[in-house]
Amino acid sequence: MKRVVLVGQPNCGKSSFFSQISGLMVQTSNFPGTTVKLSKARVKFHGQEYEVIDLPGSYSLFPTDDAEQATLNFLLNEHFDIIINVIDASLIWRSLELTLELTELQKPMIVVLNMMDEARRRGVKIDIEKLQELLNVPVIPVIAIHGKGIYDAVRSLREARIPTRFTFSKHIEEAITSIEQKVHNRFLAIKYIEGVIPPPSELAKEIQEIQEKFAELHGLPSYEVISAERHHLSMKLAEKVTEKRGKRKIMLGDKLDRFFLHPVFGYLFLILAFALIFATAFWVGKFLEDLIISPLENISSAILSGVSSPALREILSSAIDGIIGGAGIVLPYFLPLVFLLSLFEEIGYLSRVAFLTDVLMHKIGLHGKAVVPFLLGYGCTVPALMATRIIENKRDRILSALLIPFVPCSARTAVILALVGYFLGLWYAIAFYFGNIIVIALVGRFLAIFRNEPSPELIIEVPSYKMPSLKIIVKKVAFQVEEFIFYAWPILIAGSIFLGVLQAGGITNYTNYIFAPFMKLISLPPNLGITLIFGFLRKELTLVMAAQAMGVEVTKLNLVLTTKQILTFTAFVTFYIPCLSSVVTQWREFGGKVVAMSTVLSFSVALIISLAIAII
Amino acid sequence: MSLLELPIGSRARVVTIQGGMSRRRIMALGLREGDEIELLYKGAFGGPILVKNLSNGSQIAVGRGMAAKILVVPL
Repeated sequence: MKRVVLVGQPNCGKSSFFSQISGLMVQTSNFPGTTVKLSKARVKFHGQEYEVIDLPGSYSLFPTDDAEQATLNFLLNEHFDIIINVIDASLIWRSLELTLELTELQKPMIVVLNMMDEARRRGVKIDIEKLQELLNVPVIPVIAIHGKGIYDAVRSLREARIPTRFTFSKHIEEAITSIEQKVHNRFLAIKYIEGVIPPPSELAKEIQEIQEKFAELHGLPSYEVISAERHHLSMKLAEKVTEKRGKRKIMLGDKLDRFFLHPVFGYLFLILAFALIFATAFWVGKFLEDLIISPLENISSAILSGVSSPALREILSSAIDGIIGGAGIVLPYFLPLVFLLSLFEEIGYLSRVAFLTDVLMHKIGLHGKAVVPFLLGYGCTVPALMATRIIENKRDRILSALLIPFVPCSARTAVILALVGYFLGLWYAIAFYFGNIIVIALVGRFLAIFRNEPSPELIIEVPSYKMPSLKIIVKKVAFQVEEFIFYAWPILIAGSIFLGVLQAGGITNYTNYIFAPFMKLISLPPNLGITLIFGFLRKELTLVMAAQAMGVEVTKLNLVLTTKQILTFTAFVTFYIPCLSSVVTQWREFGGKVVAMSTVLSFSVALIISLAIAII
Repeated sequence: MSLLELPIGSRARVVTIQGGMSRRRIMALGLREGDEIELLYKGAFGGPILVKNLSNGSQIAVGRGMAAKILVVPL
């Protein structure tokens, strides 16, 4: 079996290409020691088996974020046989720079020129034969989202060749050769000189001398000297293979931004779009929930009626509740939300959202790019925490990880809508959501006190609009749902069983007693203590638990609770530790320190807000 | 002048990109000294700035703080 790596710049359509060749059997794992995602798939073609590994999108192999670092590490340390370099043909001038960097590896390679249709529309004509000749590797034109050229690309893997060895100016080339003779690897030699990786001690002195010489000659750090040369080489290469650009048509996409990025209409549309997203997500979610829940409950009661031991019954019932909670309450709302967000992402609108919300996100110490995980948070906290991986800066990731748990996920939304929405009215519910955003902003500002450097500036590529492909959206959704099913759901069920055991053992009876003073402090009836204390084990069932604790039906909770108490209870449930699954995810992604900080933070915020409501 | 002062819709040549890590990131995204750019949009309320790199066709949004560090000559 041959190992093939897929390398390309972000937004070049590499994932679409990967989706097309991989089918649905994709394995994902993390790069060892990192949270950067690694996707693999096996492809069989004419008797030859390939393992295709989709490396994270990288602008260059001089890492400026975790994803690029992971790609570089993989190329340096892991074994592979062939490189597929995916290029956005419409951006060939920029993309060839990475291609040249890859040629330095001197490994068999093919180049996939993706988005040929977009290039044509933009008046970019590429002489494929010529490019093939100059690079000495197969160059395959492809339109990945339509599946065009995929077959040819896979077929040409057999013809992958070691690419042309491009040479730099004389003095740079001399320096590289000198190191290359010692390490027997051109790529490694260049990376040492660039200062990307620290050289072994026996080379340290020589490397340092080279770097000093470059600095003296060019007045620039060595990586910039080499990168500038590579830039010129790639521009020359691009010039040779592209025809003089015809008159560039003004594209529909360019016109769209006049509206979508407009200071007034852009924001109006943004608000409208998100109102629509949430409305649709909840409408579809409600529909799915109604569809799923009652058959599940029927099955559940059928199973339970066969169990005679009360203790076993209690535990079994909790386990089933956990399963229903995931399948019937979280998934129905999560699914449509993720679908719509993926659609926005595919079209290219999400980077516009980042552009528009950058100022707002700066208020909480983040920048526009972080808006995506926050939006996902309205579906489920677990994938939202995982999505913080797109944030390149570690400090920003942690800040997001501390703030995202405050975003009401679908389980908490169910509580907010049922308690505040149903008993107090729609306007209270809307006010509650706005209040929630304000609290998140305030907490963000509060946390900013502890940051000694300002949040980094937004620097993002804003790619052109694209026609979405349903296949790719479905894959993205499947991927997010998979994370929910395999990471969040089992913990949800485990937490539920644990609570069942506690109840069967009669331990929960004491909790209300112990926490009675605390409940008095925030003016809630002592019976609700158990709901709050153990609520994080199964927050999706908070409502049912509350009704049980108060001894009434859910729809009659307003008879036993005052308006203030309903607000206090909902606020507490919304703001304190979201759920066990999210805590475990925080732990896995960020470690115990962040979990401890998040727990203290969320509990304090919940307490302060509950007290504030009680006092007002 | 800096990118901040460039009026919307006008073209310029990038002379200097200051800043350490951000400079590297911007260059990786395909904006380099010597490139010709067009300023497409300025975000409302002090929002980011969207430029099109006419030398390679890419579009990049940068925050205003960063934009202040990109020095340009209008064309």
